[in-house]
Amino acid sequence: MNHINDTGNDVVVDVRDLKINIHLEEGTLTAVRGIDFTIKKGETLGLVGESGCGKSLTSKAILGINDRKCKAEGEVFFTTTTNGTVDLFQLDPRGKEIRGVRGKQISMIFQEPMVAFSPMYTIGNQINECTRLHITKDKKKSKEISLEMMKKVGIANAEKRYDQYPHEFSGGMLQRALIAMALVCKPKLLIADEPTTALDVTIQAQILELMKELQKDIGMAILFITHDLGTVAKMCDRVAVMYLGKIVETAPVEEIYANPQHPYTKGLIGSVHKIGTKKDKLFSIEGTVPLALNLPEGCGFYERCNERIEGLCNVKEPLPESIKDGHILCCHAHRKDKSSEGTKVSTEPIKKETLAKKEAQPAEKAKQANMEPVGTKKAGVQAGVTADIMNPVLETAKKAEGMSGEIGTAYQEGGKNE
Amino acid sequence: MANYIVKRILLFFPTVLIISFVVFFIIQLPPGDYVNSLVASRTAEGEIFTEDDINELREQYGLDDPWYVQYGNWVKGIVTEGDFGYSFSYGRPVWSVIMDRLSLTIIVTFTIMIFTYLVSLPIGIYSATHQYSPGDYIATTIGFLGMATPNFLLAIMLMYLSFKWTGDPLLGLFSTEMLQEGVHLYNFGEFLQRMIIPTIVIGTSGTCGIIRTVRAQMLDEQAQQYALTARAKGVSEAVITYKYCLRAALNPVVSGMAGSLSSLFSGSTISAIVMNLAIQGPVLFESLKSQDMYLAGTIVLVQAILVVIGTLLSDIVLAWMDPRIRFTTERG
Repeated sequence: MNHINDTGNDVVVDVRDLKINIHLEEGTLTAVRGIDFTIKKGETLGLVGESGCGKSLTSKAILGINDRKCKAEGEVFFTTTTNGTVDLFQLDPRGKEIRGVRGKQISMIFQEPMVAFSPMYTIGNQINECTRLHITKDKKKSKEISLEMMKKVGIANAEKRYDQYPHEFSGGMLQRALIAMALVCKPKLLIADEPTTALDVTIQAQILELMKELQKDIGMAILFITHDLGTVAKMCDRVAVMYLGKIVETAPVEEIYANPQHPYTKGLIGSVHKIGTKKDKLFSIEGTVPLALNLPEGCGFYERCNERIEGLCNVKEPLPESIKDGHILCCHAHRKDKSSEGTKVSTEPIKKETLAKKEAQPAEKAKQANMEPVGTKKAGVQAGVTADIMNPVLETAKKAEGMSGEIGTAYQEGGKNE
Repeated sequence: MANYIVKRILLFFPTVLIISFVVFFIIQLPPGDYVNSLVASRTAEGEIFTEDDINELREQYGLDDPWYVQYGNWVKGIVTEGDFGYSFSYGRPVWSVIMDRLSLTIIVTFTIMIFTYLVSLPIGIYSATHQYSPGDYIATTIGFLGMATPNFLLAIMLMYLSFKWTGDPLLGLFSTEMLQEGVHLYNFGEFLQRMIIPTIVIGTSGTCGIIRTVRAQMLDEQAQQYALTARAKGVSEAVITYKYCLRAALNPVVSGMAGSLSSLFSGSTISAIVMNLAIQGPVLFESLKSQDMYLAGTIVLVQAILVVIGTLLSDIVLAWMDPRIRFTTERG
């Protein structure tokens, strides 16, 4: 692995060659296929990509809180406050050491605040649990700290709210409470997993503002996971674009908007406004589900790419390469040194008919059959795709987290459409 | 909350009145009455009854009135004097027949209840936290078998085994000596020994049912987002299991307790008959057979009242446990 990661002193977290395999009945699904990134102190890294590309899994893997079915490999170096730099993956996922990191040094905000709190206990109890675990056992003091944090995130009437239950809170207030819970221990790294997706637009802006303010206050690093490029522009310093379990392009935020290189990044940025690109989106989901179970050789984006080089892109996996200061890219078509490998530069995405022809080839067909043991599954996925057309591009991508959950959603939608 | 409880208690009285009416109506439904079954059994023994004899008997027992008059008298007796009527077959007031076996019934069924929860909760929790482990498979298999095996069959099997190994089928709760001398400290051990089979037999199906409920509920709760949030906070697995998941998983178990109060009073009839246990169940069975209507009516009525009380209690416990329910009860 060629090391492209920054290893300066102010690096908070350094993820190297992270892979996540999910063991399903259908086989092993490699959801994250070796990604590297670092986040510096006070920096916000945006992790962008469609749903199912492995963003959420990546974030949970850092904390070691993924489902038992998901096996993560690689290294996550984190500079702890007590033990220096530690590879979090070497720690026992149920042990005391990692629990001292979780919530205190790295904390997390989740996508759906409505279900992130237990309905059985008061908000105060649940925030205070964090304070008591990591800061002080003193009941009075910890309650004071928790209350102070609640006020800081803008929960009015905090004393009264402290003793209320989650069902007495609105979604926006719950997200504030969740942020309070995540930040009460002043963590070095905050992982925000689509923190505003479930909120309505006016609340979204407030929550983002709040997060930025608190970041300045505490000086923490943020890993900001989203599919919404608008939010990225507002929040992030650097952006990593993920596609099919890989980071395909990393660049400072201005650079990514001004000078996107990877065809997928271009597509993403283009698709925010252009309705015409919906067709690409439709295409993508059709490809994604079987691909993740049975990965093709070469670039994962090959079939959707409009700049693909036949004989190169579908043969050799593009490796990350620094094309400019801080701009890292995985793409054969945009390499600095454009050698004349490959035969043909195609400008059109592979059309459906071409795909169908391909499927008709016996070898391909057998492969296809292997990938999709149950007939209804394909129908389900396709129906899921049709459902997607109804929604604005990218907005559909919220849904559940974790690969298995997403597949399940697709099936459900399929059922509805039949 | 207090409002809610008062409301529920006020609702209690009309409910019980309606239940008593329905109970009495159903019990007198079958053709014939106690006199018929008495005459039938006596005739079989060689006695001869004339029409006048029968009418006289009927008058004597108060069975010549229409059933709603009988019902009125019965309810009046209960309300004014606490008199639940007269048991024809025992020849004594109903209440004294019931009191005979009440203490033993409560001891036996209470022991079984405690056994059930003590065994099933830990196994259910283990099964869920160690899903698909060998222990989980064993627990699940035993759970299925235990639910599917009829109690009386299990009783016969266990009695056979105990007879084969110890030479005593351990029939009934008391040995002959104990019946003569009464239960004292020195033979209390034997009483406990004799409790083992009934406890296992009657407790098994309930235990297995609760294991399955707890396992399914716990699995559900473990997959909830809040468990992940707690884990991300650095909370230990034990706290996640017991503070968060178990608390939420207990709701169906608690509502299931509503029915167990009435089974305390007269459950497991068939097993009790097979194992010769002197508890309330067989009495109900006999009284229904011989159309001893006041006895049967009283037992069923008490059962029904206990169901109503049990439901009330479990609702109160649920409201106390689950803030969401508390919230709606406070509003409503």
